[in-house]
Amino acid sequence: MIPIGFPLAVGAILFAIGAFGVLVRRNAIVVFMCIELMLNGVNLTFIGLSDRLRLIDGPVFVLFIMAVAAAEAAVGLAIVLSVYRRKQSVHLGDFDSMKG
Amino acid sequence: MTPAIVLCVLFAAGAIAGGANVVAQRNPVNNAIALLFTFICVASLYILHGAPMLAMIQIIVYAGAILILVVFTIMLLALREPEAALTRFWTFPQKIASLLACIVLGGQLLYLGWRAVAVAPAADVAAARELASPAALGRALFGHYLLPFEMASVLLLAAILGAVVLTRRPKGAPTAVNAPPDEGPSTPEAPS
Amino acid sequence: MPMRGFLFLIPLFPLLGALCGGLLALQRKPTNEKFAGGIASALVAVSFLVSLATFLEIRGAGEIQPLRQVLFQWIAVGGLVVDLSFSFDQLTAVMTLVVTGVGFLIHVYAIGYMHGERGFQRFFTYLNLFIFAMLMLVLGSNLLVMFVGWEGVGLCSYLLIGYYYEKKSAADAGKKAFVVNRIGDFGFLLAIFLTFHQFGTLEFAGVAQRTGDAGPATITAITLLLFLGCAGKSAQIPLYFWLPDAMEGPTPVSALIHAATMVTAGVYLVARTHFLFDLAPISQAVVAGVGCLTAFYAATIAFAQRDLKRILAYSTISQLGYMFVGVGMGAYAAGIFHLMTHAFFKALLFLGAGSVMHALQGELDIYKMGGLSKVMPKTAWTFVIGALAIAGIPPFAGFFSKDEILWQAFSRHLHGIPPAFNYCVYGLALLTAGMTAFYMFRAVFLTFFGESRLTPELAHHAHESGPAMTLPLLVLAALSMVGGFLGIPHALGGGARFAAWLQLAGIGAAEGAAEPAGAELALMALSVGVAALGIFLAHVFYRERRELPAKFAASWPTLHKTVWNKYYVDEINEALVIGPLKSASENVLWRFVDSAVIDGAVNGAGALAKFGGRQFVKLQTGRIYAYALSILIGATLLLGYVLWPF
Repeated sequence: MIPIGFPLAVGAILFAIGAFGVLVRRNAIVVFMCIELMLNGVNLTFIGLSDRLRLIDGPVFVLFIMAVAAAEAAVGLAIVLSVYRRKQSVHLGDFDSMKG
Repeated sequence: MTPAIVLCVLFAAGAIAGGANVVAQRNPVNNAIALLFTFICVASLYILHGAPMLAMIQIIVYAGAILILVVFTIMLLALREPEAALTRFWTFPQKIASLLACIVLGGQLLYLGWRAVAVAPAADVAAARELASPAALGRALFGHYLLPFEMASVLLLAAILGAVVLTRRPKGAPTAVNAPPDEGPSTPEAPS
Repeated sequence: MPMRGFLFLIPLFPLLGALCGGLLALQRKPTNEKFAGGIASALVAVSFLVSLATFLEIRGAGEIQPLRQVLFQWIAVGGLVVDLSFSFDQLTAVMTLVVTGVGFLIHVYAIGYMHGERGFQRFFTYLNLFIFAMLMLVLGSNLLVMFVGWEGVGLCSYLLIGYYYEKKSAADAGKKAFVVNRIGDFGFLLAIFLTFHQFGTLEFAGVAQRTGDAGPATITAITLLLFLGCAGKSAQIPLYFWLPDAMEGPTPVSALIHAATMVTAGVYLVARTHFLFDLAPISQAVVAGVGCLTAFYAATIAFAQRDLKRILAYSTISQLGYMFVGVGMGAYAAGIFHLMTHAFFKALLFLGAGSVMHALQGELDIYKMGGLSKVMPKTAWTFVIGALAIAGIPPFAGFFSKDEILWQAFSRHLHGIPPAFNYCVYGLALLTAGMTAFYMFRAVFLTFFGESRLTPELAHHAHESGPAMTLPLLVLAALSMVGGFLGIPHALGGGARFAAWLQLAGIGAAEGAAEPAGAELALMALSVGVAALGIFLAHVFYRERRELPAKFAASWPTLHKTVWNKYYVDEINEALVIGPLKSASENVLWRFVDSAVIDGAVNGAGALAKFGGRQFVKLQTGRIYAYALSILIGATLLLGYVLWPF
């Protein structure tokens, strides 16, 4: 019998680590990977809670999150590619043309 | 100390370690591998929590598709760390601020979880271990969640189209990233 | 037939005339003078007939409530409820008949006088508008309707004084009249506020019922403020100096507005609010005192003037002072009686002056006239009749009214004011009567008699005026002769019908009969004697021994110069008041308040918005890290807020 706190705690920690990574890393692709980390944390939370509450809605939601994550990956990496074609760099510090 | 709990702790530790590495590694390929490790640990945790099908889907979609895409991109862009002038992280104050923010956020989430636990109903031990069986998932997806299910397919279509449009090459642009600009299609060179 | 419902017709007809005239004045076609002038005069005549009918209705009825017609509720705000309503009592009857009657005669006169003027239609529009405003003033049953008329006549005065608007002096005179009037109106407005605050109503009848509610200090304050308004409108010290300048307007205007009607509005106001003045003897003393001083002061200035209309203007100021002596001493009937007779003979005098001006193509300097009685006999002899009336020679109208005032000044005691005041006022007024006779006949002799000092081409053109102008002169002369008989005092065996008439409206108690009749007769004889002496001296100075005036001026040069320059009042005013005001406006209000403060505030608001915007723009660094961190912090805060109760 797994205490309910476990998946919740692990999910929270994964989310926090992912958030830290998004803020700290300057390589666009690594940032993207950290985002996936955050999503995993959320998924874990969903699964854990639905396991405890015996609801099917949790896993269903997780399924949808995965679908969205896949779509996001496709589009996001396409964007990274396009930007790289223009600026020859994925360094986030170089992207400040939205300034002002 | 049931085996379930032990496995849980094991895989949890693995997931967290993997996550830390995703953030910390310098070489982006290493980051990708750490991410793969995290995915596998999380999938195992899914199994332990009664959602084996989702664990499979996690491996297939995340590890098998998304991660592959990421690795492709890394290879395509021939990224290499570190160049001497570039530093990996932002400046020190930014690091501290981010750390604090994330600790606070994490703390809040933990707290939230802890409080949620208090109001959660008592576990039904006698209930079947496996909750998210394919049958149950199918019933939910084609029943209550039919609309989101269909919308998801539209979303994926949009994502495909978007990816194609975004990466279309304007006329005359170099076909490969490191190839010198020349007319017509050319094969991408291997990264040196 | 009951006229109660038709009161509104009295001011309506002139208003219609003004509106239609205004529209007609806008068109390009040349004006049909007979039509324009005829219609305008006819409308005033209709008003006169309606007033006459109303007058006849209340005449036989004895002491009754005034006829009252409420048109509609005009203002209902908080505790202030004011109707647009008219009331018609005996006093109103006198005023409406004078205004419409004399107004009609002047309208007819103006058809001839303004012949060939470019703005003919405009003139009659303004004249009708004036009659309308004046009727609103006298018919109003509350202070606010009266104030509407008060302001209206001020406006028309401005429009008509500045009728020759291309002439700078005329435009300036119009402005001067209006601005000085405003100072008086300030006092009037304060009185209205105070009245409402104290009594809760602005209706004359309502306030009259509640006079017991207020203490003497309040009533004195209200009456003094009302008198400030009167001083402005009726050209008393210190707000008189606009009236001589107002002679820039065409002569019919001077006759109607600045002699017969508008300037008498102040006297009417005091009479109308008699129930307040009766309770404030200090105010009454102030009114009588100022009136008496003004009468004397203006007469001294008239001594040295050469412009015929200016002489008449100062004479008007002087006679208005007399009227205020009358109403100030509580003898409202005497003051109003003099108002009426003055309207007759002063209008006559002005119209006569206009006739002279017309004949001499605008010449007004009496030292350049002379001997005109041979050329324009009707004008001359009607003018003499007017002069006799104003001098107070019996049996002309002025004698009865002026004498009544002198008698009341002498005998009627104000509560709490020592009798010495009475004697001072009487003495000064008597002296002024003599002076009036003197300067009027100086004008008469120099203008119409003696040998002609006209330039040859003027002498060639001088002619009697047409019937449109001479007929009103004759009518007014007749009125100046018989008008006095309305108020023959008891002492001479008459019925004092004028005073009795006004008493029916509750105005003026018949108090002043304390002295025996003999005293009154003696005073009468005294005043006639003084007047005759004045005429005699004028005869001596200006007919017999012509060198005397010049010798007089030479021996007292400073006095002569000061009086000739009207005591330099205008110059003092310019230096003390207008100059600093202009400089303050320009330097303080314009440079500082307008440019720096107001423009600064407006521009500053814009600059502030710009500045704020620029600061906010700094948030958009374009750096992804900053955006991500702010999102995260926002999420943290939001979570914190949600989790707080737990």
